[in-house]
Amino acid sequence: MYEFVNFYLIPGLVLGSIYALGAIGVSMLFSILRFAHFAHGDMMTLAAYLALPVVVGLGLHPLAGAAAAALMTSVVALGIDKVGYQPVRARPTIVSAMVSLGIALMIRSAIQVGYGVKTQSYTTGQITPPLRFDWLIVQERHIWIIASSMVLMLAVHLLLSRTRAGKAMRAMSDSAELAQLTGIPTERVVRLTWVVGASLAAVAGVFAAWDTFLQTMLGWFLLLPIFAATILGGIGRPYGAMIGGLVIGLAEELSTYPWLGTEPLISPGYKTGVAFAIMVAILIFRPHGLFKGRVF
Amino acid sequence: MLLEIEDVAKSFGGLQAVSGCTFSVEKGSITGLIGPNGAGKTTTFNIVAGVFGPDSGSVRFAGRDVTGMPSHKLFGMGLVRTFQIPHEFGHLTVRDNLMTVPSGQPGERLLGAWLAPAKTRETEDRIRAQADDVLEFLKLDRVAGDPAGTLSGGQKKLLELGRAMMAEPALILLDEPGAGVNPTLLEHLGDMIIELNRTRGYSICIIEHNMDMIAKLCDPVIVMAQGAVLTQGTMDEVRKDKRVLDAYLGGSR
Amino acid sequence: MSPDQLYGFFLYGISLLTMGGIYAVLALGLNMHWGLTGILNIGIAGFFAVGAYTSAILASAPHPVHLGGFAMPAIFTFPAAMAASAVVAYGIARICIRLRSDYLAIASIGIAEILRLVVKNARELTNGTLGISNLPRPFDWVPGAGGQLAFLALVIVLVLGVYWLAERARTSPWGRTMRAIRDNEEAARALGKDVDAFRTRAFVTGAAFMGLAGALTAHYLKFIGPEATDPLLATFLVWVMLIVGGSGSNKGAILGAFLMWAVWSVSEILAGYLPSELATRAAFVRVFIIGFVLVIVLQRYESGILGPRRGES
Ligand SMILES: Nc1ncnc2c1ncn2[C@@H]1O[C@H](COP(=O)(O)OP(=O)(O)OP(=O)(O)O)[C@@H](O)[C@H]1O
Ligand SMILES: [Mg+2]
Repeated sequence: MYEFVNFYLIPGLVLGSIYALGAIGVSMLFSILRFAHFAHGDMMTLAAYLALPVVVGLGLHPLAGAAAAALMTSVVALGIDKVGYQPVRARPTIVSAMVSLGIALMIRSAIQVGYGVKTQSYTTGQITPPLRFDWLIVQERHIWIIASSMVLMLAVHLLLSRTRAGKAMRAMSDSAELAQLTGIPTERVVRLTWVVGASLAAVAGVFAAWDTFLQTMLGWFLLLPIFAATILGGIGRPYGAMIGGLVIGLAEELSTYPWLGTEPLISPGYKTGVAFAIMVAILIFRPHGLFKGRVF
Repeated sequence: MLLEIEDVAKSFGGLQAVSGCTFSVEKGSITGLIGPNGAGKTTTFNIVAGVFGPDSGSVRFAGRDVTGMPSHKLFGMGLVRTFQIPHEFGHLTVRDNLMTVPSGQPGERLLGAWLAPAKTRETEDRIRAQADDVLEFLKLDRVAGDPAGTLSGGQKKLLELGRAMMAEPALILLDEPGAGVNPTLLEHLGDMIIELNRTRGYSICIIEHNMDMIAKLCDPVIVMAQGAVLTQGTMDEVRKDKRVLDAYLGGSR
Repeated sequence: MSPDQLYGFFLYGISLLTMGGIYAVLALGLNMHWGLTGILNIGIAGFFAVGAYTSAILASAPHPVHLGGFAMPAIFTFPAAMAASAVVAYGIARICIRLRSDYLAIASIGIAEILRLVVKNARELTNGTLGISNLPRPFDWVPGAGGQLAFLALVIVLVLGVYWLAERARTSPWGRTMRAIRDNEEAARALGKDVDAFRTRAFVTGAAFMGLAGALTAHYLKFIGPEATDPLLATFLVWVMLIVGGSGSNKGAILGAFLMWAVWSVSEILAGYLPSELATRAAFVRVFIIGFVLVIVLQRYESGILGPRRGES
């Protein structure tokens, strides 16, 4: 039992939180700009590296690094939108999706030029002992990650339900024409979406790096489970994306638990395949996702 | 009866576009379908043609229950429809728009295209001749080589009709074929539709707002309002029905 | 220039053309997907790997770890590679072809990812990270450079064959219907076209070409390992080739493949002359340029070198 909680459930929740933060952004961008943002993963990588001087250089807490990275990544995302996506906004949205692939490559290789391929870490050398509560063993950072993810998700909820900007975002995600008709400043909503999406991605990226280590493929490997979470939750359903992220994260970790006998149910080598398997199942049986998002 | 629509209903979100609509189209007839804007005429066509299924009710075509059957299968059974807003293949030439239509072309299968060039060419020649006949009939022969996207609105409506003719169907559903067509051509269009019905034996169901055209072509005429059939009969009978006038005056919702 | 150097250049030229030709097959396959059908396939590496490993397993000598020992000749293993990729593509199409193309794009990444995992982990099938080596290269028995020349000739014949198939398909009534579907899907359905079936065929055919390219690569290099599923070389480079050459045009696909492969390969050699610390960075700069070219061409030069201009089809 304690093994299950300590080594499977908690890591699953951590991973799930990271996926959820990423998936909210992908889901919002998908429903407002109408394209699959393939650079989301590499934006997360970028954020993780942007936080590096803050955490290692200035010696601040990774949470401070995450906040700084969120700010910087938002600026970068707005810049990329201006030079990358705005010029193709009038064309079929699939062109934007392809542009995002090119941008993903550019972000990643730019980081590689700067940092090379060797891995980095926020916690150079020192190993923090885990906290123990009776049989429960938790890494401190896991508590931070799960708790701050919950706070951020609550913030997204408040933004969408309580503010005018959030309502404008929801209106635009329902129908761009309707939003334009009713005088919603669509470009401003787009920019806001980028800021929210990029900030959440940045935090998720920093968390992922904090939980493991930094390497330039960090985000690319997160991209697929994040898309799976987005589709699972239903495109354009931020709450769905949160739940989708948690489900995918838990499923990945729990799939390696020895449910039957003593062997892992699924060999850890195939762990990331679980996300994909869930995604395929969703596409076959419920293409709208669990929460009836839009289907294109 | 060639086409029987029974108690069909369809709503979009909260809007009840069609509710309890029942009528039928007799084999060999030109049936008119009229009604104020937003009455649910096009939606009914969409349901019949398999663009989407009805929420409830059933559609029978040529003696078979075809409710919810996909468009391409209905086409195979001899049902073809035209669109109120032209749906031309804009990058294809006008002639290619027509030549795309016939099904079962050997060159339309990949293996056929690769392995049976002679048969493909033979069919192409035949279809091209057929397309040119249709273009001449519709007086579109002068623009045969132009991309369909460059046609005028009226010409596109004719092209819609032309594609339907290429199908050699049992039933054509025409959605406002006269909209945007200039008055002289309109006269001609009416004659052409009658000719298609008489000489080729196509049954036709036609939505139109031009009452002169309906009067000239259609018997019977079905009047829809607010998603259901209000009344039906000859044009004269319908004209005298006070409810019809009310429906039109009440206008769209 | 010494005779040895000249000979070196000659061999390099052969390898440049051989790899360029293999990429041309990939780009022709991608043109079937993107140029003709509008399918955004980002999992080219997956189909490539299926073809490569299928052929490798069927052609390899017996091995204590991985499946093999069938020692079949290329004339069987190449078609088998195409068939295997086609089957995988058909499975994906059954699930995703009716959905919006972004979904298919995501699914295609997923498939490539799964295959990468399989390649890495299923040692009894693929020998894991060690890969399958000692693959026979057709015509290797020809002495001197003759073997490589003969293999190049084979590649060129196959490029021409695939080009013929792709071009025939594009200009046939089948291609006309494909264009009609792209112009107006709803009208195509109303006119009796089974849109999903048409798309599926294009997807499967393109994937078969990609599988063939995989098999050719495996046998040309006499080795296939997990790097084959690296999306950079097997997916993104192909995209840039097609976009630069002009998507929608089969000639453009071939031109783009040879052109971009030459740029890629020559720049690698030039980077090799840099001091080692800079050389590793230069490798990443080349990747950056791939991404940059992709974005710029998409934004500014929509039709590439040979693609149809806007408004044409
Ligand atoms: N796809 C759709 N989504 C939402 N509402 C729709 C859709 N199609 C039709 N409607 C609505 O359903 C109602 C009936 O529309 P329909 O097009 O069937 O009317 P119509 O009788 O053809 O009118 P008209 O003579 O103007 O063509 C209208 O209020 C229309 O706005
Ligand atoms: Mg209408």
